[in-house]
Parts: sequence; structure tokens; C-alpha cells
Amino acid sequence: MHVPGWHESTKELQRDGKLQMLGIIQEQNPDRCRLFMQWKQMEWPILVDTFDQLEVSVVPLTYAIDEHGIVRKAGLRLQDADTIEESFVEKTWPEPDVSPSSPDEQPWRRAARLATSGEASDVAEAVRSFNQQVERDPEDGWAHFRLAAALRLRYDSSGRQDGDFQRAVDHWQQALEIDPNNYIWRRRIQQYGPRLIKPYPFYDWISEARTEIAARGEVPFPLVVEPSGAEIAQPARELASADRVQSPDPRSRVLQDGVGTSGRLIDIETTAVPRVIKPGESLRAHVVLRPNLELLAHWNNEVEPLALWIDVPPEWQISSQLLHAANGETAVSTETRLIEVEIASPEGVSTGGVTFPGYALYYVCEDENGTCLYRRQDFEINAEVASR
Amino acid sequence: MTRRASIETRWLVGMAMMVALVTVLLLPSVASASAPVIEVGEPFPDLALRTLDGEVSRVSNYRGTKLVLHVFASW
Repeated sequence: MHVPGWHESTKELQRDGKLQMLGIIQEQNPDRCRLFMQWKQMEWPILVDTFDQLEVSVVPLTYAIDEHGIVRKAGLRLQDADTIEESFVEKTWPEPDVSPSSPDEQPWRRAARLATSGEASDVAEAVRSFNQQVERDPEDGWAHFRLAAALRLRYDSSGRQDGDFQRAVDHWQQALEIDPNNYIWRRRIQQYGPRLIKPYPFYDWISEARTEIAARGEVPFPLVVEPSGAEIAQPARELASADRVQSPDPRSRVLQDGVGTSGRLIDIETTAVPRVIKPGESLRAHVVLRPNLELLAHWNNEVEPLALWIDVPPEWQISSQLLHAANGETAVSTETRLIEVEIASPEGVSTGGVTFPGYALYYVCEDENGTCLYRRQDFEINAEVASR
Repeated sequence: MTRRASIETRWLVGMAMMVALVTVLLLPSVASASAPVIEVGEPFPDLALRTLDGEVSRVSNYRGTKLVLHVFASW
């Protein structure tokens, strides 16, 4: 990879104080970069630019900046690292007539910077700020991208609101429609989207990194959001459609969650990535199941695992109609469970909204000493087919 | 210049003006007015960003030393 290559080639220059390496990361989850740096034993200072305030549309980009803050080289390639001492470090440039000054900061930039902490109140402020920008100019792709980044941050925070992830995906998609050439915008859809549109697995390096860090006797930096499913999946060229199987509750005989209890014990949220597809394209559906902590609900793990069933119209393909989530390791647990599945539309499909109905079957307990129940909950995955 | 060449020249000039006009009209839809400039010979945009430790820092904090700056992601 580019970054460790530069680090290796410039180690001596860095050690001698002749050259400083600095990173700016375009990443939804900056803590993953921290783990990456720990793995590669790099101690560059890193600035976090989750909202792409730099307005770059690809990575990596490498610049040589002189001691006055002036860009002297752009578009450096890894092989330029071998000659950087002669071509840049040993060169001198005249001092600029006017020292570059820092521009006054617009309020949205401050909101963006604060929100990278992931603190719920700061993220909420960023959502408000970028919402206003989108309302002011619905054709501003950057505003859509930034609103999406803020919504996904809120989804990952304690301030999560229903539909945050789907709204994030929709705004990333709108940004891409405004400018399809921005690769960073495209990467966010690919990060969570179907394997058919993935250029490479995004975070499959994490398990290898943790193993190597632990083997060195260090503790790997913890991650706020553990990458799973789409984020570590390998790309695929075609949807491997499983054999058709039987619905486990075809006549809806299992009692619905909420019957006989003071409320629904499990909250289900579905997100389609992307929500709008063209005929022949696929989407990745994320189904998240969270125990209702207000009712002290928890999973019962001493039974058969949670099952998920999804129906698709004839001619549509689904990677698996019947899916399962592994039980927790303790007798009871309250973790969020995420199940992902890929659905592909047929070439000749008519345009318009499409709904994939599904249901989950699970064992859930009311409270710490309460009754354990077997329940069903119906849900829908909503998407749209748009014309080419 | 023959009449035909003159018409072609005028047509080309007209087309060039149209392309320039369309480019100018389209620009605001793909780039916002506040877009930072990263060009050789210009200062690197001096944005205030957080570090991985949560502190606020700027590229200008590193003035006085030669810098190689990477814009990247771990994916």
C-alpha cells in the first residue's frame, strides 16, 4: 500500500528532522485508521476529514509542501519517495511575499470538525447544518455527501434516530447522481453495498492487523463500530443464489412480538444499499435487530438461533431466503444483531417501488427474571427500480 | 479568407463560446464556491481538523519544516 511504502522510504529523513510526514484521512470511521497505523507501526500525525472539507474526489493523493506552507509538488507517486530527498527536501524556494493566512472558518466547517468526535450532540448539530445546506441548494452534491456522513455517524452514536442509515445511503446516492465522478462518494455506497459493485473488500485487513498486533504483545486499538458484512465482504461477479427453501412459518402461526407484553421487545430496522437501483442491478439489504432496552428485553441464547425469512418477487434473485444470526456466547445478551442479504433485480423488471416482505423468528426474554418467549416480527425492505 | 473558411471560423468561434458558456453555467452544480484550492505554487488549504486524539490541528502547524502530505483512507 501507498502509505506504508512512503513511511519506509522516508524513515531516515523523518528521523533526522528533514522531513515531516502528515496524513489527512477521508474515512467514515477514523478509528480504523488508528488501528491501521498501529498495525504498520507508523506514528504520523493524522488529521481527520470525514466530511471531505478538502473537496478531493479520489485517494490517495500526495503533496510536497515547503516550509512556508506552499505546495511544491502534487500527484506524487510511490516511486517518487526514492528521490524525494534530491527533488524536494534539499531544494529551497523563496519565501512568499505574503505569508498564507488561515481563512475565517464558516460555521459548517466547525460543525463538521466537532462531529468527527462522534459525540451525539455534535453529530446532531452537523446533521442540522448539512440539512440546511441541502434545503438551500438541493443540487449541491457536497452538501448531500456531508449530510449522509453525518447521518451515518448519528446512526452509530447514542443519538441514533430511526431511518438514519437509509437516509445516509439515499443522500450518498443523490450526491453521486449530481457528480458520478467523485470516487469518495462512490466508495461510501460500495462500503455498505452489494458485493457485485465492490471493487475490493474494504476492511478485511482488520483481523490480520489485530492478530499481528497481539503477536507483538500489544493491545489492538478498539473500534467504535466493528466492521462486518458488506464492509469485509469479498467482491463477487454474480449473485450466488441459494436453493429455494421452505418458509419456517408460512401461515404466520407464531405470535407477533408485542402480543402479551407491554411493548415490542425487539426493534427491527431495514436499510437498502442502495435503495434506488436500475433493472439488472442488485442491492444489499441490512436488517438490524435491537433488544428494547427500556423493557429490559434480551436475547435468549440457550435455544435455536434467530431466523430471518425474506420473500422476493418471481424472477428476482436473493443470496439466501432463510438466514440465521449466531447466538451470543452467554445465556442471555442484549447485543444488536445485523443480518445482510443481497437481492438482484431481473433485467426486464418494470420501474417503480418494490417491497420485499420478511419476518424474523426469535427467542426473547422480557426482563432479567421474566418470561422468555418465541416471537415473530414482520418487516419490509423497501427499494425502487428507476429507468436506465 | 474564402467565404466558406470564414463561415467555418465563425462557426468554430461560436461553438467555442457556447462550450465556454455551458461550462460556466454547469460549474456551480459540481463545485461549491468555497472549494479549497490545492495547486502547485499555492498554499495548502489550512483547514482546522481534529487529530486521531481529538485535538484540533492545522496543516499550518507544521510550517517551518518540509512536509509530505498524504490524503488517504485505510480501505
